[in-house]
This record gives sequence, structure tokens and C-alpha cells, in this order.
Amino acid sequence: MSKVLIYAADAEEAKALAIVAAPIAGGPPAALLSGGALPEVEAAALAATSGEVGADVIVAAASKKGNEVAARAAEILDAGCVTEALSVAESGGSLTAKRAIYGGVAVGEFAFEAKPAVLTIALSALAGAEGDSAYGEVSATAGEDAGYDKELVKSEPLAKTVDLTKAKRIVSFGRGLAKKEDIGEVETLAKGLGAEIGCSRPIAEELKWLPQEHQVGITGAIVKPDLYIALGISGAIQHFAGMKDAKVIVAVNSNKNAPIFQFADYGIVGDIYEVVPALEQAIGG
Amino acid sequence: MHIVVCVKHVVDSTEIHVDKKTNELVLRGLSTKINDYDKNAVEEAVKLKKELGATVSLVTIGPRDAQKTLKEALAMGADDAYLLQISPRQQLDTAQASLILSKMIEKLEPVDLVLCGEVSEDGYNSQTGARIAERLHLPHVSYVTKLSAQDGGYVAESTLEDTAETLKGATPALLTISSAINVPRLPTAIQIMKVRTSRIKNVKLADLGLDDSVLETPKVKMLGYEIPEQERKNIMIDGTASEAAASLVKYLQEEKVM
Ligand SMILES: Cc1cc2nc3c(=O)[nH]c(=O)nc-3n(C[C@H](O)[C@H](O)[C@H](O)COP(=O)(O)OP(=O)(O)OC[C@H]3O[C@@H](n4cnc5c(N)ncnc54)[C@H](O)[C@@H]3O)c2cc1C
Repeated sequence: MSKVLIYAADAEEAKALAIVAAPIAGGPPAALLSGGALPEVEAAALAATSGEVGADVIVAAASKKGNEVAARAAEILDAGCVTEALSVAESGGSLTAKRAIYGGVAVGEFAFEAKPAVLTIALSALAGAEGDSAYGEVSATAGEDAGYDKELVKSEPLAKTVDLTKAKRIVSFGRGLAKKEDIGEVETLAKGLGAEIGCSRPIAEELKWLPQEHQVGITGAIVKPDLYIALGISGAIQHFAGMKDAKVIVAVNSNKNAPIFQFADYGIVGDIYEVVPALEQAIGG
Repeated sequence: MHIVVCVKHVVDSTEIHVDKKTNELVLRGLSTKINDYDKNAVEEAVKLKKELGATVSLVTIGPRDAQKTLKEALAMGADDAYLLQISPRQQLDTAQASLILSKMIEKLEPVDLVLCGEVSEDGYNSQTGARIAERLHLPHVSYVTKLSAQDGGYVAESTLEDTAETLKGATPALLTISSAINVPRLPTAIQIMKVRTSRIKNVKLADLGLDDSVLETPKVKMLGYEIPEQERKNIMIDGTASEAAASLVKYLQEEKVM
């Protein structure tokens, strides 16, 4: 079993990390709460603290901040690192972690060849962590001050017009939509369903028909609505990675061989320009 | 100003799929190319080159075929390219890759900025940039969605889950570049072909003071993988558009998601 040091943004995150790390923890883990400093300073403190408390496994959340601090700390400790772990296990002295590979088409199992080891836990796994856990908060041992010339000059909440991660229903469209003006049709359907609008990457990044926050996928929002309707989206794995946890998936595509149909509960092979108005009618009537 | 961009040669992740008969990932025989996110980093470097007269060097570790990736980035406007060649079957973990890349970058000093893509489309580890920064004792900014630089310093915006941070610092520094920062220029096939392979310089582990054993000592190894079950109903709805629409609405009402 491992001597675990948790690195968390706050107490709630520390508790979830302790639950996920329970299978490998020999006794209640120590927990270091983030000091909110620059990642270079946080990483140095994390590495120093792990030495101080004699930890051989560091576990942090796979938030963007968590990942960069973990990666730097791993380098300081000359340790292996697995980010975005879904679960961790230890048997026969071998520490392993599972994580999605290639955007979620498969789940890989990774083994650490040695300790110390550094892990970050996928936010989805932390959100699903239930039960009781105990940890002992420790105070930070300051790391070596590298004296980096870098400062935070501004920190602002992102101005998002929509947060798809919280949407109950999403109507999403892709390159099957021929013109920007036709978004009106999709909006009417979404309104009828009380749904938010999502899109594939080309719509947001290349065509810029919608702001980035509407993009669903591995480089966009990871969503889990009750209903996800994909209109004229082919179903590339990078898109799938963002919507695979939807409860019910509907696909409308004119190509019966489009990969999206494999991921769908209900599929309609047809032209969105015919099916969308028909759907509006069926909902209205 | 001297900018080094780390690029990775990867299998085209849009082609990866599961073979339905064997339930295994199909990874062989797929086309290979430059990691999508690294193109954003190269684009940013080339923009700074135009603006400040910077020199842009590329470093990569990869099979011989990685010349393709370097040629594409050279065609985008980079000046020099360095390849540390490994066998196509050789896998490296993030610790190994960061060590070797760091040594390659050190060889090119003085370096003002090191740019990396924020992640690679095959591994999705998001570690290499931060690890290289730590090894080279450089400050870093990750997930950069806006960048301006002058000789001696930079201002970068880093986009996190719910906040945008603006950071200001002195060079040398390492930045990992987000795909949201720009739309990379697209060199034509002819432009890429015209790049002379002789512009790519080969680097050996021994040149970096490293032993071949560094390739054999990963800290993390993949044991295997499983394909998650697809628990989808896969019901195809037939009929005219209005018939299909009516049936779908019925299904969705039964599912209680409308
Ligand atoms: C590193 C990387 C990251 C990526 N991240 C993302 C991401 O986060 N999100 C994302 O979405 N993509 C992402 N992509 C891109 C992804 O691989 C696909 O290229 C993209 O999802 C395709 O978008 P699309 O389905 O809209 O377009 P296409 O693949 O062009 O598909 C259009 C579909 O519309 C159908 N169609 C056309 N006309 C009609 C019609 N009239 N009626 C009905 N159907 C019609 C076609 O049959 C086709 O299936 C990423 C790619 C890479 C390499």
C-alpha cells in the first residue's frame, strides 16, 4: 500500500480525492491544500511536502491547474505521472491507474515502474466519488525559491454565454448545416425542446458561426445532458468524447454509414433540412 | 529572439477506430502527421518571427517518418529542425520525452521562448510542456489563448475551466499553446514537398550526453486496454421525414427526456 499525499484546491476536492485514492492508501492520506500561488511555487511546495511527510504517491485533481502543478512536481521528484486517471489500484506492490486513451475510444491500464508516483484524477471521477473519507491536513513545506520573474496581472471569470456542461438538453449541429443563416432553424427546434445549442469543432473554430463555448468535444465542452440531438454531425471520436455520457443520443444524418449512428439510441437517416422542420411540427402538434 | 517549438509526430487520431470483429483498436496503417495542437504553437512562433524577426527552431523525437511533421512545420515558416530518431515501435513516457527534449533545447541555447502544444492528440497527457519547463528551470504558462512578446518579455492569457488569467514575465520561459489561440496556416502539399530534407538535422542521444538506456527505462508503462461497452439502443427510425419525426417524439416521450 502507498503513503498518499493529496493536493487539492479545497476541502471538498480533498475529500473526493481521498475517496478515489482509498484503494491504494495505507491509512488516511495526508492532504495539502493549494496555497493559490503560481504553479512553479505550488509544485516546489508539493514536492517538498511529500518529502517531509514521507509520501510515495501524490494524488491531485485533473483540473488544468492540478495537471500543471502535478507535472512539474513529478519532474522535481523524477517520478512517473498519469493524468486524468479514472481509477487507481494496487496489488502485489504494483500501482496501476486506468485512463481514457485516444479521446475515450478505449480505457488503458497503466503501471508505475517505481515510486514516487504522481496521479491526477479525472474531474468526472471526482464528481462521481461518493462515501466517507478521512484525511489529515498538513501544512506546506516551502520548496526551493527559484525566483522566477513571472506575475499574475489579472484573473477574471470567463464570460460564457452558455455553459453546456450544465444543460439538460442539447441540440447540436455540424457541417451538415450548409449556411450560417440556417442556424435559425436549429434555434427554433432547440427553443421548442427547451434545449441549448451545441456544435462540432468546424462550426466554432473554422467557420466561427458560434462562439467557442458551444463546441462539444475533446477540445470543447464535455457534456452529459439527458438528451443530445446531433444534426449533420459525422461522429468523429473527438466529438464523441464530449457527448458520450449523454443519457439519450439522437442522430440525424443523410449518410447511413456515418459513425454517429453507432453512438446513437435513435437514428434518422435523412436530410436535416427536411427532418428538422418535421420535428418542430411534431413537437408543436 | 530565438524560439524553440516542440512538435510531435502522431497517428492521425481522427482515423483511430475499433475493429468490430476483434474488438481491438486499429492503430496500424493509419496516416501519421504533426500533432494538431503543435500546429497552433508553430503558427504562434511564426507570427512572432514576422513581428520581431525571431528565429524559429523545431525539435522532435520520432521515427524517420517524423521528417514529414518537421517539413510541414518548416513549410509553415520555421527556420531549423532537429530530429532525434527512434524506432517506430519505440514508446516513450512523458518523463523520457521531457528529458530528451530538454537536452535538445539546451543544445540550442540561447533560447528565449520554448513553445509546446498544450497536449498531444494521441497521448492526451498534458505533461510534457510543464515537465520540460521544470527540468530547464524555466517558468511556464499553460493553456495560452493570447500571446504578445517583445525582446525580454511576454504577456500571455491562460484560459482555465472558469477563469482567464493574464500573466506577465521575463524570458526565457516556456508556454503551452491552446488550439483556440489561432487558425494555423495550411501549407500546400507542394510547399511541403519543396522543403529540402537536408534542412533537418539529426541528433543522436550521445550528442546530448545520454545513454541508449534512457529509451528502456520508462516510469509508466501501458499494460493493455479495454473497449468500453456501448450501451446504446441503436434504433433506426424509418419513414418519411414527418413519420420519422413523429416516431422520434414518441420515443423521447417514453424516455422522459422531452
Ligand atoms: C486534435 C483534434 C481535436 C478535435 N476536437 C474536436 C472537438 O472538440 N469537437 C468536435 O466536434 N470535433 C473535434 N475535432 C474534429 C473532428 O475530428 C471532426 O473533424 C469534426 O467533429 C467533424 O465535424 P462535423 O461532424 O460537423 O463535420 P463532418 O465530419 O464534415 O460531417 C458532416 C456530416 O454532416 C452530414 N450531412 C451533410 N449534409 C447533411 C444534410 N443536409 N442532412 C443531414 N446530414 C448531412 C454528412 O453526412 C456528415 O456526416 C478534433 C480533431 C482533432 C484532430
